[in-house]
Amino acid sequence: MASKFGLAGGIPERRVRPIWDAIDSRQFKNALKITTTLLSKHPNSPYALALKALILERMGKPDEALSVCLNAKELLYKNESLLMDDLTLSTLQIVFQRLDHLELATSCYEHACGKFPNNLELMMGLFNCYVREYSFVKQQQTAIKMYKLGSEERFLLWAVCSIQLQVLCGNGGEKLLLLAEGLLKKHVASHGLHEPEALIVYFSILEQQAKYGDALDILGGKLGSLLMIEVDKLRIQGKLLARAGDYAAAGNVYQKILELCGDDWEAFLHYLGCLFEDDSSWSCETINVPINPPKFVECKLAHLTDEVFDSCVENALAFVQKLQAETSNDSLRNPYLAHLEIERRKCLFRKNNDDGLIEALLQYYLRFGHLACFTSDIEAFLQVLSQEKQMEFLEKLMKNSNSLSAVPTKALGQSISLLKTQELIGNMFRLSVAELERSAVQMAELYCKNLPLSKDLDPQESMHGEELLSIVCNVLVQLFWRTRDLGYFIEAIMVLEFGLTIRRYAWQYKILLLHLYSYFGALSLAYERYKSLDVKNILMETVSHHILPQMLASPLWTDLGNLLKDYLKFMDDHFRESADLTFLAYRHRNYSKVIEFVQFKERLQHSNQYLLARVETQILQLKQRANNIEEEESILESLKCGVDFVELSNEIGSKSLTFNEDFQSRPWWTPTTEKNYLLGPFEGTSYYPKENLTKERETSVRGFVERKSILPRMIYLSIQCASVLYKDSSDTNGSLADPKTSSELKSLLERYAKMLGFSLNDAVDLVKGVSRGLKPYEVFGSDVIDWLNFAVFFNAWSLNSNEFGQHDDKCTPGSWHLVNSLLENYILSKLRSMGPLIQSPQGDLPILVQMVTEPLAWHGVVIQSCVRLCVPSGKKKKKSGSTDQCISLLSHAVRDAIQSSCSILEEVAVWSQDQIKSSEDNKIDILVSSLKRNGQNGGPGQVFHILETLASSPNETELGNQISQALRAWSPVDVGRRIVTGQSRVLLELYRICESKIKSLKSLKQQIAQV
Amino acid sequence: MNLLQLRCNRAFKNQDSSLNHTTPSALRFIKLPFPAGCPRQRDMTTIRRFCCNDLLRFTSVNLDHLTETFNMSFYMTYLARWPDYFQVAEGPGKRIMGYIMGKVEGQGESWHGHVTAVTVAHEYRRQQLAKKLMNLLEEVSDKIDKAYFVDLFVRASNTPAIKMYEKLGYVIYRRVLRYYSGEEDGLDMRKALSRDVEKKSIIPLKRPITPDELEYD
Repeated sequence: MASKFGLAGGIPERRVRPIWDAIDSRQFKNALKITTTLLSKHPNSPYALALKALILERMGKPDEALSVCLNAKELLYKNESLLMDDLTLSTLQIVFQRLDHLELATSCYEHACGKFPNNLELMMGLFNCYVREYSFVKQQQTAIKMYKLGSEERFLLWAVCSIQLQVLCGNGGEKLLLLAEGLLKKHVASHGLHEPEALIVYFSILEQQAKYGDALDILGGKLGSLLMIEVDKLRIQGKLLARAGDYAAAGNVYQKILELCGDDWEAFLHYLGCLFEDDSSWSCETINVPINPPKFVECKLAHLTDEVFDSCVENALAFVQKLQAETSNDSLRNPYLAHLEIERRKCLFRKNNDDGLIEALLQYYLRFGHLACFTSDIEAFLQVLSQEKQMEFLEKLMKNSNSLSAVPTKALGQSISLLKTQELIGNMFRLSVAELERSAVQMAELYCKNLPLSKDLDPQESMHGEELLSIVCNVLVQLFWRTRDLGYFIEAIMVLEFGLTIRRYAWQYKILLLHLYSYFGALSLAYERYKSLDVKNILMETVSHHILPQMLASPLWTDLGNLLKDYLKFMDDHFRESADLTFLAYRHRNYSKVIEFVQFKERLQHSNQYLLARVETQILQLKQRANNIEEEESILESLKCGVDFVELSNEIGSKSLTFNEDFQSRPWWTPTTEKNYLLGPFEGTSYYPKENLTKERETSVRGFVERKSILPRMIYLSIQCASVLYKDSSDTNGSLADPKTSSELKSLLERYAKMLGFSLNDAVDLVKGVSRGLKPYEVFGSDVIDWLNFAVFFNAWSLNSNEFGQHDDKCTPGSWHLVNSLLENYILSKLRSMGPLIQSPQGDLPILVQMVTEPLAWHGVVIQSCVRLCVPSGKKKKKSGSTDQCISLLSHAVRDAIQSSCSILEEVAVWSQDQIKSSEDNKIDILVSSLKRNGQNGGPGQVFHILETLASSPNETELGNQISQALRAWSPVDVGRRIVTGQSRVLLELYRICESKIKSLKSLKQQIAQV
Repeated sequence: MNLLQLRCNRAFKNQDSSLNHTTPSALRFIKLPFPAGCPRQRDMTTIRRFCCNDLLRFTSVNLDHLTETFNMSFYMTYLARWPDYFQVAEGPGKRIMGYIMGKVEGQGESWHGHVTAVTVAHEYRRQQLAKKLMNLLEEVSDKIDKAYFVDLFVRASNTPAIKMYEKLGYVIYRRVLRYYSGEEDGLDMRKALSRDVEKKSIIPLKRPITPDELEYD
């Protein structure tokens, strides 16, 4: 369009082209220069101004850009004779959009469309504006206007999509669908349809209204020929028939599909659904399906009589046998999986078909046991068997393992499948320590023995038997969990590091390692492993859970800040650009994608992780600035003093949340972010469920966000409360602070207490009880950080209230002492019970870090506010006698609090430093020597010994150059050194945080000493 | 042989044009008329169109270090423009086994299908899945869009992948010098489709070319 008539926005194109070129090559200064020259010739050209605004925006001058844009807009509105072209408008639109002023762009287009009512190009621009604003109703109205101009099919479909969006994502009633249907029907009658995508939308409109018969009529008619691919057509037909309840006809259709493509698993499930007249396989098509749906295939069988069931099964079996017989391709798993599914249903119906299913599973193993997907293929089928029957299957499978394939790679695959099945069934949990050790040794030997198979593979390719080391690691962690012998844990790390030496891209090893390192307190090393996974773009939404929770409780603030920033940037970028991509789908007439894109954006917007990251980013900032009250206040100011977050906390209960994290690759001992069996008893000893515990997580995430998001406000209000002096005089009603502040903080304290399961009174009593040593800290359970936060904010509130008699007739409340002693006793007792990190994996380190960086830090903020109050700033008026007394009492209390905080921090600093200082070689020695027993009398080190032996004298002819070289580079001492360094980095960060807090407290001490 | 992934840096090149003065009006889309029904050949069809939710489920495929995870606008542009060229294979339990993404572009006799990426999860390798996915894209290019050939780019050092493509009927059409991040050469491999009766599109070029000489990004 730009070159239409050789003009661009009314300016000769040859004059504009150099500007475009300069912008494209990011020479903004140059572009600005040419634009200025251009503007001197065309001072009132909205297009030239729009270009200038575009350049200014890209140069990072948003305010100037906005004012130039507004100027251009004004000119457009004012000058009647001016050309109102799409190029000018779309350029303005780009700038307005980047400046977050979509509404201004929309109003420009609205104005233009008002002036030139029948200009399609402008209307498309306006439609695009509404797409960006997700104004579905206005989209529909604009599209209808465009449709009326020339009855173009695409504009009708734009309108229909807009209607559908109102129903699916807006608040439009289902009656609107009738309107969409009417529009389509009328258009089809007069013009027909020409796009397959249009037909698909038509079907979905009918389907949403349960008008399956109408849809089938259309499919069978002339329009049906729009669908070019026979199988796709059959799939639609089958689904419509089944949903209409005509299972017999639908079953025939699915049979046809399976005859055409025998590997279509979903079609087979639908086929069974038809046979058993069970609609469950169609009803689960909701939008927010979990990303890992249950492996178990839903089905209903109770409505069938014995005879009907038997005849259905007979039919199905006959059909499956036919499929199997016709299959020439050996790698086609579907017909055999189909057999398993039929046996499974027999189990579900009769409950006495276990043997039939076991037999089918054994057959499946014979055929596909060598494939890496064997265990995930059979997982769902195993679930219907009882524990005993699963064991029976396993025993039979083991017997089979005597007759492995003659092809070495296949034999290895079969062995691995066997081991993975054992793991899946939970058999490892039944084995004795000695048996487990033996099994780990056998696997390690199997790995070594089969290394030569990978001799000629490219180092980037995955290796034969690679999974063995992951299983060995799982077994070793289990041995550690059972015996608490750290040697096994270190051995697990060594095994994986050994694997990485040979295959440095194996992401499965890296994930296991990052969790092991996290647990071992070497979080910086864990983070390095995480980074080497190259997690970016959408993977940040699905994979970050591996590291984010640990980082949130760590002193690695810079890394955490980057992690959060990158993630939020990705999400926000997507939200910004998603509408443009939706419009792209409109333009390219891929209407089904329009709906999909909008729904997907909503799904990401409701992501629980996104919400959490937004809250945590602010908390992190508050933690980082807590030593400087002015900086803390300016952060709070930028957060509107925490008001928005309180709102979030209010709403979180009713907000819909999505859970997009992919938990499949997490290790068995921490199946979700909330669970870590190594920290406590294992729930359920026989089978570890890897299912997505969404309901449970949902409650926990809501609770977490609810609590976290009122923190900024509570910090803000605490500062306020501590900024005004309390005077216990009857005329001021006991308080000089803004009564609103005090009462708001009180109501937040009430809420906080409620979230912890208590009334405010009971919570205060509990906190008092613990601080006086009448109750143990254990009463706080896992919420100890929240309880101490509560105590800190309670103290701040008490500075201005005597509701609980905190003041004992004095100006300063007794709650100072309460907080001091709570923090002191807890942290110091933790420090005393924590052994050297190198000998006792993390345990309490994250709690310690959180104590220092949260409650203790917030307490420090309250102290700073009090110091500011007590220390005269010079110009203040002379205070009265009673004020003086209050100040003196308060400053006394503050001095004590500073002293107490200082001594706590000093102890933590000393502890960290002791850990860092102790000799690196000693620590490495502790690590490596725990494995050097060579397992003569059992115990850790046996697997390690096997790997060491292999590495000490690699046979180059057998293993090839690449593997041999890698083996020679293997150094357990290096691994040990990395662990030690990793732990030290975390401790060093903690030490630094303590030091800077101590420094700030000491300066406060000096200030308060002047009072 | 399990190194099936392609890495293609031209994918990145495409991304830079997102903010461009010509963007709003420069996009025009031409769809070719559809020929009469063409059944897919058997055994290639646990395969369905890729959809946005699959982006949340392809983790285990994409953690593989040879599989690039592109930015969202890249995936969504492919979905919005060439949904038939972006297909995913799904196994029992709705697990993603692998996927292929591609497009159709060009003018006249260089109207062709292009494979941007094809990848298979570790668990599902050695089952000829990549071949099935490639065949599907070729079929869409051939039967629906009536393209003359299908092409793809591969690192010159990626011998396993090159061998696999050769087995699938692709020939090395030309070498593109320093195609990958200005370092490694790329090979432009092609396979002629039925519309190119004389197989003119795959006659190898004698000399290597530079990335600037490429007709399409």
